[in-house]
This record gives sequence, C-alpha cells and structure tokens, in this order.
Amino acid sequence: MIEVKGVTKRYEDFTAIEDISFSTPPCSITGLVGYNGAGKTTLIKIAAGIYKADEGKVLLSGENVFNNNNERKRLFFVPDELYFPATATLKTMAAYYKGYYSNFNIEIFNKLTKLFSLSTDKKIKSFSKGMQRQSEIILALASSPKYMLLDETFDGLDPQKRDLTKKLLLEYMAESSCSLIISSHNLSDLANLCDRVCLINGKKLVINSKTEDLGLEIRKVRLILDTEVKEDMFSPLSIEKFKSQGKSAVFVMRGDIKKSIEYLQSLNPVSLETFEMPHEEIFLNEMEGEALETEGFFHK
Amino acid sequence: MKRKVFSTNKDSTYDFVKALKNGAIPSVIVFISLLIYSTLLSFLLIIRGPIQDYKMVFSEADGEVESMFIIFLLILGIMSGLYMFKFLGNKEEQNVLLSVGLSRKQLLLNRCSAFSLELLLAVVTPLLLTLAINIKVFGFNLYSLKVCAFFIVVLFSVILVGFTIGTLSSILAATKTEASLTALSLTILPFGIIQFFYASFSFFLRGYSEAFKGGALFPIFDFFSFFQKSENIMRYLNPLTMNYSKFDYNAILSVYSNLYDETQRFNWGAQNLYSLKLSEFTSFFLWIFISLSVLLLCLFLFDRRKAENTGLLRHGKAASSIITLTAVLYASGFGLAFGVFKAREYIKLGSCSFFLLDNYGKFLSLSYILLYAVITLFICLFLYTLNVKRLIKSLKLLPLAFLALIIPIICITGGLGFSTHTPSEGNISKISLQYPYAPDNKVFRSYIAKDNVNPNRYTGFNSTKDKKLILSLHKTLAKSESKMQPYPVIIKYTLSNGKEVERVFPEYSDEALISLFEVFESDTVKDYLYRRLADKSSHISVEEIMELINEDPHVDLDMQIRKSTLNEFEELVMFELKSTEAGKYSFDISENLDEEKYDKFLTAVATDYRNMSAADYYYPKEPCKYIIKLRIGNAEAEGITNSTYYTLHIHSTMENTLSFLDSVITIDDSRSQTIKKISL
Repeated sequence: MIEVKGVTKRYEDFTAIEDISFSTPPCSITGLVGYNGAGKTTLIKIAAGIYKADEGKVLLSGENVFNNNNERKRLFFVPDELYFPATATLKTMAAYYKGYYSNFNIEIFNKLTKLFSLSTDKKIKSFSKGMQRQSEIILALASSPKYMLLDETFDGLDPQKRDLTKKLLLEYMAESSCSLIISSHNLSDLANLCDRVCLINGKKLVINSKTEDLGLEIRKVRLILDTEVKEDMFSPLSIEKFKSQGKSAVFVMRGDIKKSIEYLQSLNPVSLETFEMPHEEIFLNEMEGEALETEGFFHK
Repeated sequence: MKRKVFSTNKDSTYDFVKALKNGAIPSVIVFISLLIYSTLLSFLLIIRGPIQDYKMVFSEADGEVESMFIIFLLILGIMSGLYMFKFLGNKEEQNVLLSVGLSRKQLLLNRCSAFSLELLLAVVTPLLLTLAINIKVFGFNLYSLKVCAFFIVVLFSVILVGFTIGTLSSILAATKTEASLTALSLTILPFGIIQFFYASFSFFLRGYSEAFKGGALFPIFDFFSFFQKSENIMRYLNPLTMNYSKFDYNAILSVYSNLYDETQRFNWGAQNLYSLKLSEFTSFFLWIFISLSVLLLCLFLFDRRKAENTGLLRHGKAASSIITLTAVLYASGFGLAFGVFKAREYIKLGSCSFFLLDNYGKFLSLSYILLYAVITLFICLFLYTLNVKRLIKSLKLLPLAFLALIIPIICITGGLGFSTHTPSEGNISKISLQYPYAPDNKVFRSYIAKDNVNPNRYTGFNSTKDKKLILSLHKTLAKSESKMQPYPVIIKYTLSNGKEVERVFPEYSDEALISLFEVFESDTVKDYLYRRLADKSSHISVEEIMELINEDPHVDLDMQIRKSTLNEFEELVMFELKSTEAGKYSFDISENLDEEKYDKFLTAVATDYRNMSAADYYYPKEPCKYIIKLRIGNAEAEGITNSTYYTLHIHSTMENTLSFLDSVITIDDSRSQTIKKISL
C-alpha cells in the first residue's frame, strides 16, 4: 500500500503542494488529476523517494519511503522526462533495469516488445516520442514492480497504444496486486482506469474519491419558481456557481442530494431539473475555472 | 553475451559494477601513464644499455615533468569525480537512480569505493612491475620496497584529492557546468586565500617577515610559483600545490633514481641523505585522511541535497557561493596588485619600501581591492539573477564585498597586536638581531664602507640588560613612523620552549635608527668584539665547525667565532700606519712586530672597544688620530694575489691602542727619526 500523509513541498517561497493525504491499497489504481503545474509530478517524485517532503511523509507498506529500501526496490517510477542514454537500445536498457530490479522478467519483456512491435536493437533515441514512452512502459512492466508511479504516461501515445497500455496496466495490477498511481491532466484518461481519483488544485487535494462515487454528491440544477429567484433562498443548501434571471436559476449543488432535492421541492418550483455531471465538468468545476473565453480574442 | 548482460542480480552490486565501468576510463589512463612513465622506462634502460648503467627508476625525476604529471593526475581525479556523479547534473538520469531502491548513501559509497579500488590497482600494478625490474637488476632490498610504497602513496593521494573535489562539486552544484566551475573554484580557492593573506601581510603588516625571505621581490604574488616549497601549514592545505612534504619530493625522487653507484652497489650514503622515514609518508596520509573526511561530509550533504534543483542553472546555492567567493577573492588579489602598482607611482623614491606603503598608498590599495571586489560581486550577482528585479533585490549582498578589506585592515592596524607584540622577558632564551651599521664581524673594517653589505647579525642578548634593550628597541621600531632605511632590522626571539618569534622592520624613523646604535653597548656585542680580537681560545676552525655539524646538524653556529686571517700573524704582510694628525706620512711597521706584539695590539683594540661608548664609536668628537691598514695573506694562485685588507680608525678615546702604537713606534729609532724628520 502507498500512503501519502500530510505531504507539503515548498520551492523556496513557493508552496507547490500542501497537506496532501491519500492512500492506494494493493491491487488498485489512483489517478492524480490537476492542471499543468498543479504539483502532480512533485507529489509523484516525493512518492518515488526522489524529492523530500518538507512536511508529511509517504509510506510504502507502512514505512517511510526514504528508509525503506527493500520496498523501494519493488517501486518503479515512469517519469514524464524519460532517461535513455544516447546509444541505448531496448536490450541495453533491459540489462540496465535487470541490474537494479531483481524480479525483472525477460520473458515478459520479450513478449511486450513484440506486442508493441518495437525493435530491441534500435537506438531508443531514434524512436518517436510515443515509442519511447512505450519502451519505458515495457521496461516498467517487465521489472515486476509492487508499486508503480506513472507520470503523464499516456502523453504522446496514439489511441490504440493508449488503450493497450491501459489494458496492460489493469491486467498487471490484477495479476501482481500492484499499487499504481498515475498522474494526468486529462481526467478522461483515468476515469475508466482508476479506482480512485485525487484532484489537486491550488496546492491542495480538493477531491479524493472512488471513481464510481465521483458524481454522487454533486448535481447541476435548473429551477423555475413563480416568483423572482434570489440566492439567499437557498441558504440551507451548499450551492456554487449560482446564476439567476428573473424567475429562473441555474447552479451546482453539493452534499446530500436527496435532502437537497426535498428542500428545493418545498419551494414549490414551476420546474425543477437535476443533472448528473460528467467527469470533465466536475473536474472543471473543482478547478474553479470556467471554460476560458476565446470568442473574439483575435477580433480587431 | 546475452546471458552475461543479465547476469547481475543484486542491485547494489550491479550499481557498484556500473560505477567500476564508469571509473574504468580514468583508471586506464592512470595505468597507461604510469606504465610508460615508470615501468617502460625501467624496461628500456635494461634492454638498451649495459645493465651497469641502470639506475633505480620509478620516474623520469625531472622536476617540471614531475610537476606537470602531478597536475595532470589532479585534473584527472577531478574529472573522474565529476563523471562518476554526472547524474547529479542530469534530471532524467537522477530520476532513475534515486528511485531504484538504493539509498543515496549506497550510491555514493559504490562510486567512491569503485573508483578508489580501480585507482589503487591502476597505481599499484605498474609500480609493482617497476619494482620487479629493480629487484631483477639489483636484487631485493627493503629500500626499493619503501620507494615503491612512497610512489604509490603519493600518486594515490593526488588523484584521490582530485576525485574528492569532483565529488563534492557535483553534490553542491545543480548542473554539470556549475559542478565544473565549482571544482575549479575549490581547487584554486585555497591557493587564492593563501596568496591574498600573504600579499596582505607582506604589503600591510609591519613586522611580518616572510616577504623578505628568499630575496625575491614578489615572493607572494608570483601566481606561477605553484610548486614553491614552503613549510607553512597553509600550503599543506592547498590541493593545487600538493606541496606538503617536509622535503621537496621532486628532489627526493631525483636522488632515489641515483641511489646506486657505478659498481652497482647500493649507495648507502645517498640513502642516508634522504632516508625514507614514516614522517615522509605522513603528509600524504594526511591528504588521504582529509579526502576521506570530505567524502564523509559528502555523504551528509548528498543525503540533504535537493534533487529538485538538478538541471536548474543557478540553483546550487553552495556552489554559487563558492564560485562567487573565488571570483571575488581573486579579483581582490588583482585589485591589491594593481593598487600597489598605482600607489608606487605616487610614492617618492626611497620614502618607503616596496612592501609597506605610506598612508596614501595604503588607502589607494584598499580602494582598488574594494573596487575590484564590488565589480566582481556585481557581475556574479547579475549572472546568477539575469533579471533586473531580482538583481536589485540581491544588491543587498553587495556590502559583502567589504569583507575583502578585513584582512588588509587588520594588517594595517597592526595585525591584532602582531607588530607590537614582544615576548615577555622571562620567556626569552636568546635573541638574534641584524641591524644597519652594526659593528662588522671583522671589526677592523670601517663601518662607513659597508653600505652594500648585509650587516653583521648578533645572537645572544640573554642578559637582563640586553633583553630589556632589545625589547625597548622593538617597541620603538613598531611605533615609529615609516621611512625607508638602508637595511631592515631583523629581530628573532628564541623562546624558552624552543619556538621562534621573528619580526622584520624595513621602515622606521631616523630616530629609531639612531636608537639602534645603543646595541653597541650591549653585553653581547661588547663580548663578541673582545673575543673576536683578543680571545683566541674562543676561535674555532672550519674543520671544528664541520665536526660540530656532524655531531649535531642543528647546532647553533650563529655566534661561533671562526678563526679568520685577521688573527694569523704569520700571514701579516703589511701593517701600514697613517697619522692623520700630521697628515703627511704613512709607513709599514710590520717589520717592528712579532706575534706577541701583534696579539698585544689586538688586545689593546679589543679593550678599547669594550670601554668605548656607542657615542664614541658612532660619533667621535674628534677626527681619528691614526688609520691602520692591514694586509694579510700574500699567496698567489694563477697570478692573482690572494690578500685581504683591513682598516681601523684609531680615535683619541682608544687609549690602550694609542699607547701600544707609541710603544711600537719608539722601538725603531730610525723609523722615529724618520717620523720626526717628516714632522719637522
């Protein structure tokens, strides 16, 4: 199990992440979502034992990642910036990781290279960006890790390879009871893969939820009353992004949805509609950002 | 081959093997260099010439080649350290290595131990081959083994120091460029500090003596004297000079190479001159110890290193500080040099010596130091910020440039009491004093005629009266105003515990110079002059001096009175007496003298000197009555006469001498008549 407990990291005066906590049990995948620069890579590097947290800690099977080399030997970090020496081939990189990962499985390595149709003798630097990322995924899976940390792993992969990679990760997790943390700024990449989604915004973790529970406590509401709608009418509820025009209003409602609907019906609405929100919209909503307006941007 | 590639299973062992591979190139270079430099040379000497010409060879033993080779090894060591830890300047590689399940401690230890092991092999193997060749030619002896061990320790320590610098730099810096600059800075920083301190002492610290040793005009500011031997402890801490041995080891190596005489026998005499004692190894072991201590510090620093800074230029704060410090220090040094040169343009000729400047010169030099320091610090800050807003914010660091003035100002204000400090009277065992116009050790030679000769040095001054006199003079010199004088006053105290305190005053007032004449009345000077002339029992010959040295190489010969030609009557050729009173005659009275009379004459002069006051000696009230000129020695070699001339002025206060001369002149009636005739 990977446990992130109250992790804070500062770069001089700038706080990158603050008091972040979540856990990834064995045989599960946690998706880390956030805008570019939200602190996902920082958090993953802390989990990998590369960066040190200013506060808090990351535990691997109950021990601090920095003092637990035995468990860390079963951890594989797939970084956003890949490391391949100029003359490296998949074969030499396999030898490299075989040295550091005693469970490196050469058979799986050979099978994966065939599956991805990658040459083991060509220089990796001559590969395309997507192929290089596939190479790293092959090396990661062949290393038979107990913990996998993948940073923006799907970037640059074509839809087919993206799908293949997801299937392989799920298959590997099921086979090896591996704990995975995958970061992405694209929630759709993770929604159908992760057991849990953690959303980082403004240095903090704003969502830490099972994927299937992600939309349960949030609804979009469209309401028409027979009198003019005012925001203070909804003070017992937890609402956001309230917009009203005469007798109608639109807003996002959180919390106990059943009780909230009961309250809204007590207002005798002319019309009341509630909508489940798609993941992307929830993501945007949590990021406190509206879709950025571009209309007329270049108009003179 | 495939199986071999995947054969390593233990990750730490694998990392160690990888480190061995990384360290292979520099180690092979060392191995090949030594193979050529040492083993091949030995081998060629055997196969080319008759075996009788073979010398014990471990190196070419050429001083310059030796020095260049040492620098080459040092640079190789630095580059090895940078290469072994290059991943600390590469974010991608660092991500992998720091996440593979090896602690930072293991990563560091693997690299250090792998390189040390390879290095040791690279050094030991060729030198053992050389040793084998020597044993083949000369047979086994312990001394060859010791020389071989000495070389191994020297070469290993040099490269290890370089490797340590490279390792420390990689850990402190955030990028490879920064690491290289840090390594360069760490290498030259101790040298810069030493040079700056010594230059400050030499130019500004009154009483400081080091600058006047060796006779070089620029003993300190010679930036190319990297290999200058010095026993000062600070040089021991300078990786660039690596000059930490008691002896100049280049010279030692040279002697080692000539240890066998023509008959192929081991030259024990030569060996005794440079016998390899454990103390010879100590300084090199000290360097190995320092390197290992720094590597231990690296463990600590590496554990706390911020990986997030890797690859980001200007993010290694420690490295930036070291680079900036080095740049500012060297700039301050150049500022000092240029300031001194500028000051010299304004100094009146002869108003002060080259090293100690007058007040305006000091002000000018300090201004130049500060100017160069500020400009350099500003450039460094600019390069480290590259942003006007941040540059303005960092300008608050600019006053740090004033730190460059600390040492010069301390020196100018007396070096925290250095200039005025005198040992307590009770702690002084003896004092050695050299000062202008001191009575010459040949006594008879006129003091007026020795402007270009180093004055006589007197050692002793151990009576309470003498100690008080010298201590008082020391204080007068330290406090007097600066004025260039013909010769510096050098005072060296030997304390009861054997330590020495030396002060040199090249500039002092005329009043201080006149007060120095009081030394003539000291027991030490009076006793010396008397014994020199009248006490033959205190004279020793050159042979006796050699015997003393053989018995104890550290024997104090300062005040041992050598037997000189002045005391040898049998060598007396001419004793010319000139009367200044009459001013009209001079003649040789040597024929009137025998050895007994000559000795009486010397005793009379010695007695007069003993009774004479400093004022009578230096400022006689009346002109001298006689001038005596002695010519001693008449042996001719290849047509050149080998004679020494001595002159003595006889004043009216020298009653004993006058009395003697009167008695000698009246002995020879014919000569007296001549005098009378001439007088009339």
